[in-house]
Amino acid sequence: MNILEHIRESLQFLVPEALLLGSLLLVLFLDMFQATRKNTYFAATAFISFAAGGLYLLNQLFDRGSIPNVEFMDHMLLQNPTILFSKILLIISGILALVFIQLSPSSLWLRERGETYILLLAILMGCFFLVAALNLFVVFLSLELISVPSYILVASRFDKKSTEAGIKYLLYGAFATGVMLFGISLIYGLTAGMDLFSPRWIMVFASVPVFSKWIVLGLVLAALFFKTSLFPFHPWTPDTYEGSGWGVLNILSTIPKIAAFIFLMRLSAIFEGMQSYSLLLATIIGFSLLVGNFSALMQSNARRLMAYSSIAQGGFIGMALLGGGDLSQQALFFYLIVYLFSVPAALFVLDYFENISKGDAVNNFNGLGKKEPVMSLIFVIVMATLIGLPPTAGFFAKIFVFTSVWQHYETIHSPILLGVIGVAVAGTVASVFYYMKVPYSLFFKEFENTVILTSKHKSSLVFVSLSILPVVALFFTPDWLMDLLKVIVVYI
Amino acid sequence: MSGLIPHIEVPLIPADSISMLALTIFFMPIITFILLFFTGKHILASIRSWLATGVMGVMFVLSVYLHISIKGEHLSRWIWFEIGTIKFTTSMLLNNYSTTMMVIATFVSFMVHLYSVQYMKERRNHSKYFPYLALFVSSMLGIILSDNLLITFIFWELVGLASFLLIGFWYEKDTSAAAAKKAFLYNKFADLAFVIAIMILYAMYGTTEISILKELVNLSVTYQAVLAVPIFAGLAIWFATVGKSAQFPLYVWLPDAMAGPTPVSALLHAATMVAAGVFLLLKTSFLLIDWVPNLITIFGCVTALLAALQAIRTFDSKKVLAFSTVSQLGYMMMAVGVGADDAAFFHLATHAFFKACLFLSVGAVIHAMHHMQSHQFDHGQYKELDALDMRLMGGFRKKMPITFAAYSVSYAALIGLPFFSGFLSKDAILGALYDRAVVSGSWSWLIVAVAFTTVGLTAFYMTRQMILIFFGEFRLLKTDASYKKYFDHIVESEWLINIPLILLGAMSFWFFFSLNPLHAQTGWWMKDAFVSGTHHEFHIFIPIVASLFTLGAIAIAVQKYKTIDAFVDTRLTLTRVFANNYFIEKGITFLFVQPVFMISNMCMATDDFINRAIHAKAYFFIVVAQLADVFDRWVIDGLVHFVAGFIRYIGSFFRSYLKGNIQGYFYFTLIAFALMLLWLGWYL
Repeated sequence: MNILEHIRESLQFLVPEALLLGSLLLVLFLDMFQATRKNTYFAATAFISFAAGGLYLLNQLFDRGSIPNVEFMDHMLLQNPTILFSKILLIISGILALVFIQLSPSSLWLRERGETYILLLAILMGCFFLVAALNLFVVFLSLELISVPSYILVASRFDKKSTEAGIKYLLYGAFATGVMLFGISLIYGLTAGMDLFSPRWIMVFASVPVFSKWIVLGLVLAALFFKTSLFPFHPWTPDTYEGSGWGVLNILSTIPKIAAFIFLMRLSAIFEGMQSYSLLLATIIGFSLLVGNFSALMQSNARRLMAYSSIAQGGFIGMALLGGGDLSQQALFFYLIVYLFSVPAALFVLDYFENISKGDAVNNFNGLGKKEPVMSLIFVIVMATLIGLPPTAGFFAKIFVFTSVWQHYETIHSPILLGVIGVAVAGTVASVFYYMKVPYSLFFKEFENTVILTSKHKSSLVFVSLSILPVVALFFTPDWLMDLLKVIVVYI
Repeated sequence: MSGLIPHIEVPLIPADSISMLALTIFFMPIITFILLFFTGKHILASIRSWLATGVMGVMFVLSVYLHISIKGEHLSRWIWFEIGTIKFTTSMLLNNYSTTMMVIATFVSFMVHLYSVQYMKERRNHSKYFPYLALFVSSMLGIILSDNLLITFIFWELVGLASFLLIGFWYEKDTSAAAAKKAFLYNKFADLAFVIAIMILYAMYGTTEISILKELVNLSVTYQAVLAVPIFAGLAIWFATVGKSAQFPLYVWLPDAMAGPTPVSALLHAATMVAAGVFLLLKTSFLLIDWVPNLITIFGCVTALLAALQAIRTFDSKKVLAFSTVSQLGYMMMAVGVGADDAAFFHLATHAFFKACLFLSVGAVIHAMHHMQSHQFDHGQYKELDALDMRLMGGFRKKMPITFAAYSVSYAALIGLPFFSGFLSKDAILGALYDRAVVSGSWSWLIVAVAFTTVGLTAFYMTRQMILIFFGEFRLLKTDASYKKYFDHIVESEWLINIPLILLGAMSFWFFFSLNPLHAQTGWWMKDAFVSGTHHEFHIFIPIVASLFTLGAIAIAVQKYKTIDAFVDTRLTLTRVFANNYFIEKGITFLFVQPVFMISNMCMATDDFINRAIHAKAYFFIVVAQLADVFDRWVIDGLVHFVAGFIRYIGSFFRSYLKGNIQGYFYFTLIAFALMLLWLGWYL
């Protein structure tokens, strides 16, 4: 009876999740009848739940003083302003994904189906639980709630390529989940609990022998590395990206990644000062930067290029996990915000170019800069953001990340951290080459493609411009966001 | 040092109604200028002239009203602009001096405008003439009204600009263009001193407000502080006026400035340009302390004498008057130097009227000469004729009686005959010089002697001019009898020319300045501007001696030129000294221009040397660059290719797994992860 009472009280903290669930069911219902099986209905339903959830979260965030840290559902989930803010970021990302699907020229099959929306809502719900998780059990469940819809989304085009991509993704995801489960079982054996964030668990875990410690940690983190496509759990990325549509690709490379990184950040906060954790992470991130940046140099296919780019970007975001202090957490949020706006823009422009030139090889885009000057120009800005060049906020995102790692290096003087910085610098230089590959072929190669199709020009331009606008604006007022984040990260 | 000088706040004072009126008067010609300058050719010439003239007439009436209604001082000050916390103020001071000067300036300008309506009719470039005049007058009013050195400097430069435009008004003539350039450059050179003065004063006292500066300087004098600053500032301001008010050694531009239209000369000499210098010096006379006044006196004295001597030997009818102006300005400066500010100002006022009248009447004669020339041109005979040469004139007394009358009255005023205005003002100056000599003795007596001599010289050259122009026979006929029929047709000028002559001539009589014809103590309309001779002891012998000098000079001149035949009198040719302006220009060239050229030549040579060195360096670097190119191509590029190849190899190493199947991925991940964990364990 007591438990039921507690659960009923806890439900008040799950309003956004309930909204998502409600709209998921509504879409399912709408999808059942021929008359209501319409793209606009689905999109509107999802959008309304996003908007309502977002407004509710904003409202909660505004009177954050009343809810500093609330644990609910029997210490399974946590509610605090940082988590509210993270959920808002996820909502923004979800809205961008939704609009992306609506406008993307290659996602017609995607937006006509009710399943797409159901899966998107489910992924988002899983992400909501992941960022709020206090218990490894919830982490596992929410990761599965993210992964399973992702597998289906990747495979949902039902052609050879997408099926292959989906199967690979599923197998690899199952593998990663298995590794994680193995790690969780070991942790349970070592510490007799999965309540990661409780003081008791931390105390017990501190007494675990060092060698067991990071093996166990490494195994548990495997699924998160898989979600964020960090080395050595990255090989699925290029294949899966290559086989999936741009709309799906956009969902995969933003929403789960953001959630996983935010959860990793919360983990880093409790493991702050624990060398085995931070060096493990540093090694993984160093290798991710190396693999992502240098493999991307060789790519001639736009999708694979973006896949390696997302591995590299994961490395850069991960650098902010190493520091552990307030500055690193701010840097992480800053980078995530830049990332969540710039990646959809980049993918959308590529989608657009692919559609008018009928092919996703970079060579296909040769000379398109003269045909589509505005779009190409915006693409240059987007690429500058991803490289980290001024005048975009990507510049500050990189600076903050580098600064946080350098500060951490100055306190512990580990050569591994120095190595990470070195690889990151080299990777940044390398990223100029592969990110500018497409603009180069747009502007400096002669036009050779004969197949040119026109598409919805204006709405595409508006979407890309609007999504890149915050990034450019943040370049001029980075301190505004940093001040906001300073308030947010206090509650971690 | 600055601790001794208390800081004085610069208070802001809102403008009262009187000041607003003065501002209105000031802005009227500016509006005229803008209107006429930009609409210029689209308006009928007569409308243009009468519009400008009408505005000037209204300005004169308003100035008179302003002068009547003003009591005491009206100072208004407001913020001009701010740079950070530094506030730049600007201010306007109305007192008897400034309103009197406004009345004089607007009256003379009004007369000149009236005269110009006729004189400039159908002249080339007519559309630009009246706007330039308006600019000239408004700039002068700016100098008169401003109580801030910075603002004064702006209008000072604008006066310079307007005079440049007007002197070079007929710029297609080489002499005009050259004269304008000369006037401009001589003035710019002197204006540098003004800038220096402003910088000194601002650096020292932190303000450019004249009335505040006055208090500060007086405090400095009272506290016996270091006086080098006001001394040098005063010296610099005096040097600025040396340019504008045509003092030795920079006066050489003024005679050349005659190349402009005659009404412009009248304006330049009476109310605007040269008066600006003296007026500024009077405004800032509190800066003239220690030895600076003596310097001013000496230079004024030298100027008065040299210019008078030159006037004796000049044949150009306008240049005689120009040298006469220089000489009279020398008198004013002498008066400033001995501290008789009021006498200087009084002379400035009287001089403005009779000198304008003299110019305009001589201009009327020149106008007639030009008419003869153009008549002959109309009949197909064009002959080179210097219409300004007095040697070719003569006998105009009967032909142009009104002009002659106006000329004679102003003539009498200039040479200082009793019952004329010049007598009063010159008497005041001579009295002040005498008083000073009694106190300080020694060389001051020499100054007095020169001043009296110059009185005589003035009478001599003016009588000479009068005889040459108006008496005797028309001497042009002796060289070319064909002018006879045109000369017979010469009649009095149009009334538009005569009315200004008559009005200005009337102002040369004593009653206009003082009810007592022999002393200025009973001055009325200038109110306090001429302080009724409070510290001028009346010496009966001064006017008597001066008059004797004058009469003697007239007698000699009449004797000498009674039966003159200009072309046979060898003594009338210019001597080298006079023709070259006492070699002042040559001296300036020798002292300033040639050294500058020398330095610039030296700089050029140095530059050339540097250039050669740079060329040599460039060749060296080209050789080095060739070597570097080889190195670059083989060593560095090779290295880069090697690195790129290596990275490509690493990339394909990582990529190669992905071509395989999913099992390969698992192996890769597991092995890599295990190796990593093991390595970390070993490392820790």
